[in-house]
Amino acid sequence: MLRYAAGRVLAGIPTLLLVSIFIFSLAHVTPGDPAVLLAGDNATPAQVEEIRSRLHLDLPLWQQFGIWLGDALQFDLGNSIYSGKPVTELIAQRIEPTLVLSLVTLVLTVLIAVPLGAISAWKANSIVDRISMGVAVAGFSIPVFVIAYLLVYFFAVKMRLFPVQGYKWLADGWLTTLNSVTLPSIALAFVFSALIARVTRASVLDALGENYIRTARAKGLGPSRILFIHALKSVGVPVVTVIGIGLATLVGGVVVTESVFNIPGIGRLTVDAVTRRDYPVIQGVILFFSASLILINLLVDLSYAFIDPRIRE
Amino acid sequence: MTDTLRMQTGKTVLDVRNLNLTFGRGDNALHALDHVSLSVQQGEILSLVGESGCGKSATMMAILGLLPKRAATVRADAIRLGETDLAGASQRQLRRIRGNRIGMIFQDPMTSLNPVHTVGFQIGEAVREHRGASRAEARHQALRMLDLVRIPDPARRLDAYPHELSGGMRQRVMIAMALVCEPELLIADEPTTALDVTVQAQIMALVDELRVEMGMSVVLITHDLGVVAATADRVAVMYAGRIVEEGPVEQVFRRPSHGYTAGLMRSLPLDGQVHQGRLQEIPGSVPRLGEAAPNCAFAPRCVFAKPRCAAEVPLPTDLGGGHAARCFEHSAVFADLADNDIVRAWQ
Repeated sequence: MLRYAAGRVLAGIPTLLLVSIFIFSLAHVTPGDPAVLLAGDNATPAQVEEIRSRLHLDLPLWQQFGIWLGDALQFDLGNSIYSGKPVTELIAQRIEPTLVLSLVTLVLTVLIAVPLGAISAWKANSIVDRISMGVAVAGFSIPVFVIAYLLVYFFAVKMRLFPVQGYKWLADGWLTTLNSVTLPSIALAFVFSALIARVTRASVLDALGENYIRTARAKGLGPSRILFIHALKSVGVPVVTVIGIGLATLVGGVVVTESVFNIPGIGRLTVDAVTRRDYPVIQGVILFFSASLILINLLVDLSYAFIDPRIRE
Repeated sequence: MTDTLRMQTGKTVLDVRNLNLTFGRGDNALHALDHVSLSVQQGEILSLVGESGCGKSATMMAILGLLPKRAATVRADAIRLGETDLAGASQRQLRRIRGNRIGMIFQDPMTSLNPVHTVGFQIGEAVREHRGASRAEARHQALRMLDLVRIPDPARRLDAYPHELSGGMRQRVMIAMALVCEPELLIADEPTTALDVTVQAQIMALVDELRVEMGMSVVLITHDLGVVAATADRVAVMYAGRIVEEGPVEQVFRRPSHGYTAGLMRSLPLDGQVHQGRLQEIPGSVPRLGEAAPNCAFAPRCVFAKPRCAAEVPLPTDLGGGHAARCFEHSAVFADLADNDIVRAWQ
């Protein structure tokens, strides 16, 4: 078990290194001299040179990468060109809304999609199955911002159940926070659920044909025990895998959703940085998203060992 | 045969009258079982013998209500477990019977256990379901059962996962699981087919010992007449969805009275002897399911067949001592087999 975990952690390191090289090159393949850009219109050549050497832009590329990587490892990702604030500080300020939004979406999705997929498999080809899979396809096909605006129109504007936009910080009470992320989470969960529900249905349908399900039936177990304790647990690996993949695709959805609902999270930070060509911030958020995905993959891998005893050895 | 140990009180544990089973509906309906009747007395081992697809397993699945409801139509004059009527029972009522009053073990222990739950959990489940036992009580029962099925170091095996056990061990776990609620009847569907030859004998011996210890009856589904001879009290030979011959094992082996039984006997090697020449196989192949045959379904393959066999359905002929065969030519069959090694060995 420990060896398996250690192996999974070590496997993440080369991936992160590769991502770092890509992010570092990002600033260097874009046209224009960053030193000139930073110095502004009225700078003297001496000022430009000063900036160049301060930012180590006069060194060979590999040395620059070494310095950048060393700084990144110490959580120094440089300063924003726009505000001058350290990038890590900007990210740290924006983590909470994104994290809350993602977690609420994840919980909502798992609670809806997994039972829905399992029940659809149990009642395969019935009305229940057809309706829920139809809704799943719809969720998959409709862009998240369309769903988001529909939700806002009905539940915020018409029924006034939830705020139209904005985010309430946890420090002001978690209930108001939850209230403020309900609509964006539902919008995201709608898209996210489709994939998970369909994969759960397919996996459970396969499992229901297995001999151990016949054994469970011969034992006189009821439908819910057979479905949830026997079939669903044994398909935990593919379901958790697709939840992990879903989380990765969720990143794109988070950027859009945060813009629609005006939530000051990492997604908004990304959009702002891109429109302002704030390279250090862009590099920072890409590194942040990449590291999160690697972390999610690691958690998914580790969860396999908890779900399936055959992987533990 | 350990007749002295048999607890035949004459009480009927399972009684099935005219069980019919069809898959599908209308013109495409396939007849899987045709007027299958059988009964199991307390303490006895009834063996159901026949080729793959003859309906041995389907009979038991139909009795237990384990066939898919949408595809299978089960009709029977009566299916009784003791005093309980199973023919008219709801799914919920049948569920209370399964794993509680009837235990079942299957052919392939490698895939019949859930790989993601410990064996202790899987054995204890039935006690929790049917007896409402607590987690601790179920665990205690599982431990007792592991010990009962002679698994060494049972306390340690309780938390083992199926993949950590050998095939023979897993079949022992299956037996423990089927018997944890002390059922009146154990249905063993080819329990040794997937196991090594040496392990096969151990498993059959275990089933027989537990039958005596727990005073239960056993329906043993097999295609192996050797297993029947070694363990069963009575045998029912099935062919193409019908029981073609039935009776006490000694009677059937002494006086085989159906062309199909005769074919099975000729293809059986005799223990401890070098067989002269090659074993005889039965020519032809098992008929496909379709309409219930309007004649003896075995007639096309039968060396004793007369024109009458291909024209009408033979009804069971009583041959005395609880022995009956659906065969017009039963006398010819027996006369032909009188010098068969196995038949002689039983006389």
